Amino acid sequence: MKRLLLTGASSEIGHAIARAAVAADWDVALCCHTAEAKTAAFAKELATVRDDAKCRAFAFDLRDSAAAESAVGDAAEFLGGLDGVVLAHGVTHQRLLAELPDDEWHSVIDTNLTGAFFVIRECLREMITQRSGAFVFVTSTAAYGMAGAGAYAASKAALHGLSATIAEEYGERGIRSNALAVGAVAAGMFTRTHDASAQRAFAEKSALRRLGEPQDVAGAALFLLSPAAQYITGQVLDLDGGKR
Amino acid sequence: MTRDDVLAVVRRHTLEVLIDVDPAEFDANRSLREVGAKSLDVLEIVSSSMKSLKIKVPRPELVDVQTVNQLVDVFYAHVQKRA
Repeated sequence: MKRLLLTGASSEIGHAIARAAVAADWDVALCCHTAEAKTAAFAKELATVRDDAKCRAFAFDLRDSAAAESAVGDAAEFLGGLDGVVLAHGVTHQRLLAELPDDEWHSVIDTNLTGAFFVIRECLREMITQRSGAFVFVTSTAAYGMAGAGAYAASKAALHGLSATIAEEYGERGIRSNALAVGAVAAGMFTRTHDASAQRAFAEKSALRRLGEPQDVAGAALFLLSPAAQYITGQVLDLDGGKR
Repeated sequence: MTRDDVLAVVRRHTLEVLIDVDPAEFDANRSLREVGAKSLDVLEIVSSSMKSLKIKVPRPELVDVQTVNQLVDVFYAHVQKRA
């Protein structure tokens, strides 16, 4: 059985990734911040996907270095090691850069970027002992610039650099890292920040003429974790339905 | 577990990672870098040793470590705490 640590596990995209992973014979440590009870219930639900699925919720604030270190250690111990890590957590605030208050900037950067760093730092210490492993950063096409989401865009672009650096630093130890720049996906953050007409406009701008679904993200993430992607590292894969 | 046991664990992981080092020439009074370890090698030796010893040493405690013997001392202190 392969062993996956997943952040942002309480989100719709997190759920889709966890379901797909369990179906593909991964055991999963479901990392969340506030939705511990909901995520614990989801962990039990995953047993319906695969009888022998080993899944557990780990609730911690990933902006807290010590908490992240401890939780990742506990998760790796629970799983018996780490073969894959998917970082799917994220927050945003909708505001023009010129009007973005300090606290909102820090909140987004601390969660999306610094939190990811705290998690991957511990995961690397685990993975290097086995000389294998794969990271997938669920980022966003906002990384290429997005009006009204400056902090979010900056944090996601920075994750591309973090992922590429893991690829460079740890490639010789068999550890890969890639990013999945997700476009308009009909879930969570996107549906909260875009009304129906804006969602239609996004759908019409894609070559496939539809919004992405959480399962689309899950499929791509599982591919990047899989042996089929064993020669792919340091890349950013745009998952946007073929933006025109 | 004695201090010598801890040294044996670090020595084993060092020789596994630094395959060009002659086991007969392993000197715990030298630093891992003097023995030929790069940054990644040091990370692997330290992480693998901690995993084998079932201890977790906070990063700040390792900052001033120079020689293999100093590393073993830090690890041994944590092994004793665990016991």
